Amino acid sequence: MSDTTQQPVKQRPELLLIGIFAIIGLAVLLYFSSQQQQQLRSSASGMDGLDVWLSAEGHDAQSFAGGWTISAETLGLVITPLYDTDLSEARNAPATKEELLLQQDEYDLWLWQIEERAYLAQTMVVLPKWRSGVRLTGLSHPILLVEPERTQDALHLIAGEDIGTVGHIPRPFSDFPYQSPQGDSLTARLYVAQVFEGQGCDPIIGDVGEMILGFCTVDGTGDDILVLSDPDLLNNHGLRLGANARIAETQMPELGPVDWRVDPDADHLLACRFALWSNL
Amino acid sequence: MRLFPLLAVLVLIAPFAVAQDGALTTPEVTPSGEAYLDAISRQGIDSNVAYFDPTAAAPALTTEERLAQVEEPQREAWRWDGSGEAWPFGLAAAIVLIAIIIFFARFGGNIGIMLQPTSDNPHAARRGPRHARTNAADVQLRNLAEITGITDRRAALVALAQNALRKAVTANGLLLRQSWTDREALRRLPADQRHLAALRDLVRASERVQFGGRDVTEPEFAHHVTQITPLFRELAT
Repeated sequence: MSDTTQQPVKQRPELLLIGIFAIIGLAVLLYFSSQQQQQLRSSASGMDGLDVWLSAEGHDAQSFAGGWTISAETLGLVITPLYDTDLSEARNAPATKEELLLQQDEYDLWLWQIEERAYLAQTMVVLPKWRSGVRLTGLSHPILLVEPERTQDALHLIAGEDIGTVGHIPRPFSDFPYQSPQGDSLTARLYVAQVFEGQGCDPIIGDVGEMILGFCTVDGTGDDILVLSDPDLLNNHGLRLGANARIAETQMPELGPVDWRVDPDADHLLACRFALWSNL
Repeated sequence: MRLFPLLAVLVLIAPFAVAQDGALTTPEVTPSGEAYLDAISRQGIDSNVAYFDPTAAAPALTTEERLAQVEEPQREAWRWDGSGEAWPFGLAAAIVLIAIIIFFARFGGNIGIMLQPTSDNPHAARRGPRHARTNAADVQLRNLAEITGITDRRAALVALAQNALRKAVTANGLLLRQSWTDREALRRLPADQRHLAALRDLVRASERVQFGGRDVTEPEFAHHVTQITPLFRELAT
């Protein structure tokens, strides 16, 4: 009767059930929270393809949906695509299908998030270019371009107004020469290329006045930041064009911290990691 | 917003736009692009975009079939990324989770115990788990003659105490719980219970035997039997 040793055995199934329910609940919440992002990241305007492509070429690339922290010391380069032209205000959700198609801001990102990343690791911001209509219809035309003034405002907020304007080249395809570190001449091809003036930046692709990718500085903090004005160089549909995929693959390892590149330990070279943060 | 009129015009000229298929510019496939497409094949990544001549009219966006599959903007607006509309969902999910946890924490334990066979149902006892029946004398011996017939006086005294206690507890309308020690069961008996003194003596003697490893002399055993017999006799009727 006073067989107290049996009691804990009887309690266990209930505790187990509570644990299982809690885990299921958490999993459901996590699934739903990642679902919306997943749609964007694997769409034509997303950047999941870069992660797959770099991994396939033997580089250590990883895509982060956020939700957990990661040690900045393990990151060689953090790529942050902007799907938001207003880094200081919350976006307005579209109310109709037309508004959804012409939506310019897909996700809220804040200036402090970009500044923090630039402070912690070598960061590349990719400016917004396309409205939601491109990924939803699979068509692209200048009518679906994000207004350059809005993109420019976002760039000015990050890198200061002295950096200059943002604009588009109204040609179907523009070619930009690029010399790879191995000495190969490659061509970046962009549809209705989005360029920025890049005053005070070191050009990597393009030139001051008509720059695609350059080393710039964060306004106020003075941290280094890479600015890529045209996401089509690296996004899921843009990597098909020209030698964009080859450029991404040869150039990314060069953009990480210099210390890592000159490390005599060969194993260490391979340990370089690239991160693609689509959203915090 | 200011593009609305433009979009309306586009919808109106949609048939003409379809007729201008020549406006589509197809980029040449390069070795680099091909290697990339190989790498992302079967990865669920959408890389297909049709590029239209930027100098020509725009394609009709709303007539595209793919648009039919687009979820309603209202659903698109309900995001989980912390924007204003997300909190009711988080709150609802949290309430459901907490309710489940409280339900199990509050009622789970009791259900487990209630499902055990009760002392007065020997058939349920046989169906019950064997480990719950650690002492054979506990359930099978019910009357005094059977207990006094046990030659091992130590086992007999323990059986006598447990049976007497069970009878007293059940007679008072209480459900005897397995988690109770003998003393706990004794404490739950009303103070005016007759034979309480005899029962208490018996339980203590039983404890000395069970946990103290004491021996039981014949006179001692006879004394307890005499003391507790009225209880057995009374509750048997």
